Amino acid sequence: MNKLSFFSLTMSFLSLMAFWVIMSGFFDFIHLGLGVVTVAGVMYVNYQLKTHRFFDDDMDDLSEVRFGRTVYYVFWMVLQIVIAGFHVVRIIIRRKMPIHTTMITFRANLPSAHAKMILGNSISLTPGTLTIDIEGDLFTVHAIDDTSFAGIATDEMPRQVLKLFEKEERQVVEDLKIVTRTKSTN
Amino acid sequence: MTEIQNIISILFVVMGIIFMLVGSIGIIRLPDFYSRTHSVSKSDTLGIIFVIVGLVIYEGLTQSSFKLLLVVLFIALANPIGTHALARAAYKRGLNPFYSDDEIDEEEHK
Repeated sequence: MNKLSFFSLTMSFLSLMAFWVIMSGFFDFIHLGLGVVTVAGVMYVNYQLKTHRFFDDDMDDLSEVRFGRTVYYVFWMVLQIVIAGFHVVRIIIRRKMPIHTTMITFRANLPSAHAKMILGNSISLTPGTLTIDIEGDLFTVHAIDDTSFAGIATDEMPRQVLKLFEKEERQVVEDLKIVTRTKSTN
Repeated sequence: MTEIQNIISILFVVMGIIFMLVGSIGIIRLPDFYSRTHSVSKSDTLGIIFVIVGLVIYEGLTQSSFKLLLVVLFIALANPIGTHALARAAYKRGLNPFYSDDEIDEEEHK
């Protein structure tokens, strides 16, 4: 059980309060007061959940994330979602359907379980790839054609995730294996 | 001004509907569960986002459009997790993916 810092408590209070204000739309004293009471209740109920450790390498604190980088990352991700949609549509509406389905497994060298979660989500959102399983460091990814896993093979996308947490650059993806057949004899 | 606003929002909504239609066609055309999941997750996410962005442009800068933007955010967060849960469940139960190279091998053996 780890304690929440003042910084992360303030951040969750502010974001929940912003959510309340957008939902209610009133700025008078009674509505804001009710909002503060509700947010306090929600934070009390969720306290145990937020302090619970699900994995050994859980991120301790929100302050490990670099915020300037996060803004860039969100816009990059939105661009990836749009590209992904067009990519899949282009495959489906062609008459020949140029698919070449493969499974990829690789090990990702990332600092925390949260970083792995973000990488898994990003893989699912980027064009043509889908995270199927994460066990420890081992990722299993399904790819719909050959161009789609280039972002993982060249280590470009995992590095974007690493940059959210650390300043130094290093190789993230290791032991990349590409399975193209059911019987993996060759 | 409202004329242009309406035209842009209609364009966005129509584009979103086209994306969702193509996603549904993809479910029928693609060969196996995993690649079908691709078509559902990718083009449906983009389709819903386009429809909602169209509605935001139609609304202008009001409280409702902020709520709609929150909906976009939650869909973008929930959709990959949902598809990952489905694909993972199928994988753990031992559903083998369809490999394009398997088909080529079979044709060579004939």
